Amino acid sequence: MADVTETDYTTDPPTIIERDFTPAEAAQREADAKANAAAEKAKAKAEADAAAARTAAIAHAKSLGFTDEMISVMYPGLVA
Amino acid sequence: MATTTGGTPYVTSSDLVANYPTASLSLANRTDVVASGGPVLVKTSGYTITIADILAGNKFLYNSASPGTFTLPTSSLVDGMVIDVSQIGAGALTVSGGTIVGTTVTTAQYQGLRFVYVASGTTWYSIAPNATPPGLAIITPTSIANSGGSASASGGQITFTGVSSISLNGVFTSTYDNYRVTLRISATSTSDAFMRNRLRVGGVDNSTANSYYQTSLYSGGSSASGNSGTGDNLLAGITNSTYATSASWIYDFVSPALASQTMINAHTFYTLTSGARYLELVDGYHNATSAFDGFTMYPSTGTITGNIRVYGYKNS
Repeated sequence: MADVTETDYTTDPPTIIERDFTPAEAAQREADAKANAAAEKAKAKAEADAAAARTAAIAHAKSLGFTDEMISVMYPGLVA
Repeated sequence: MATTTGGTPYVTSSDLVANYPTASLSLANRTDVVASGGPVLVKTSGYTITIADILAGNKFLYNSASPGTFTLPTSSLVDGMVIDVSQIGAGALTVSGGTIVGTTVTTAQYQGLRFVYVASGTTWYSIAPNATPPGLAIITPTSIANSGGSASASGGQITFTGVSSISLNGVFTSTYDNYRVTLRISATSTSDAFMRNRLRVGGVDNSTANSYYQTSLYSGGSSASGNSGTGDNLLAGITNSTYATSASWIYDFVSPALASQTMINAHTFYTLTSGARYLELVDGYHNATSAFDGFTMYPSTGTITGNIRVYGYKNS
């Protein structure tokens, strides 16, 4: 199956051309895919870092003797 | 029963009384048609309008996919006669016959013209209601290109199914300075893909690094967050496979076809099946001072299904 379908509406009936990606288009899509994968990886890492920081903060607060209730009052949203 | 030259029925002294109800109904129907602004003669091919047609109070409607011509009468004319013509098919209607003064003698689909006869000059005058009324004009691209799935254009609406990108060419021209684009996505193949946009010219996307500048504001509830950045595309919104309703995008492209920076203002809203509602406002520009003739919409991953319409803001 061709990569791209082009429909030209300046002709009657419209002309349909099916073709593969041009080298530039193929390179751009590869670059887009890499950029998206990097963004997804960065997003996952940021979420994991945030979760780890949250867990560490709760553990630290509890080591000082605070309960979940007390932590929730001091840091709303920190304890799920 | 007899009829006037214009076709209106009337009762004569030789008519039987028993026939009067039928004649009366014909007359009443004729009155109703005239009162509604009719009658209208619908023509599917070229036609020569007669004096009798005019005296009957007819308007003339052209309905054909092919171009055609209405020919105005040139004799037995009376000062002040009026002919209204209009077109509903795709085929253009041209009006000819005798001397016609006026710049507009050809109509476009869903448009009409009035011709008034002035005896002193033996001339029909073409009266265009308003050649360029203000507002938005729907634009059909000269061509579209889709990767994966299928896409088609009809009546100015571009419908696409399961595409990983949809490109519209030839929508930004010198006719209008500014454009509105409506994008509706009814289904996606993946969740949380970013909806991206690139300007293009000559069938090629502009993906110059850091040429798209944008600032966005995002909210999923009582709080909002924002950021600014640059990239090789404009990012506006997130696709989600669990839309409760279709997601909508509205883009305004300011001066894309001019040799100046193209400003882009985008707004998106969607509701998830969980009930969560999100909006995102994105304003930005492309830093090239060159003209573009189209754009590409694409998700960062997966495919999308929906439709796009492009409108030109009339300049005056």
